[in-house]
Amino acid sequence: MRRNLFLYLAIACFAALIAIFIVDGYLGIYDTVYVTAGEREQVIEPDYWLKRYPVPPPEFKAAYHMSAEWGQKVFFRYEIDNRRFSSYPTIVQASVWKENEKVLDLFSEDKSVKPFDKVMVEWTLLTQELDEAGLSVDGRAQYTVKIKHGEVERRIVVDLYYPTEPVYPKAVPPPPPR
Amino acid sequence: MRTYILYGFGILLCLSGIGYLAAEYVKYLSEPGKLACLILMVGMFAFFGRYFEKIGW
Repeated sequence: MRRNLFLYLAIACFAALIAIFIVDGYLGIYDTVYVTAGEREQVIEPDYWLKRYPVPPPEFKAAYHMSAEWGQKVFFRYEIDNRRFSSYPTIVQASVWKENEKVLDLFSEDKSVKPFDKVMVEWTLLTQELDEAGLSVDGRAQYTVKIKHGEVERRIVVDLYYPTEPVYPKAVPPPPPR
Repeated sequence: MRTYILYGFGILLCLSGIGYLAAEYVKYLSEPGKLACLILMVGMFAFFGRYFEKIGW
């Protein structure tokens, strides 16, 4: 028993190592973005940002790309999942940016997420509001929706385009009679 | 002799695989998590050392 004690202790250390990997991966603040444009809902899981940039360099920001039609409403739902033992007070902000300049504020609200609880906020991007802000689309334009809470910043690049008329093939005239 | 070379090669592959996976997973750990892992690793190797010492290696 005494001889095997050190073996058991080593095995216990190994089990604790594995447990840390699991628990540490679960604990933390996680956010999920749901974007609906047209009939299509896109879900941006927290893994999307983590897998690309586990240790994000401060000068580089990852972005998610999506497209929407001009005149269409783009619905955003943003979920913050607090998997910590303390509550998470924060200000959730969403805004539209173009060429590194803020164009429009979409949402701003103080939120406090209880331990092991979730909070969902919603807002809508109306392209008419971009029109009122003096921005229009010449065929195609890109805007960045920035979502911020605490030190976290998520960027969603929305590619806006004008709907084009469907082009139907013209009827082929019958061959001239010989 | 050939068998031992194959064993050695297999062990080497296992260790490199585990090392690669550990390096990948460590990226996602928080700083306190990394510290705890380091302490546990040191403890694990120390206890293994003591165990092998006791059995007469």
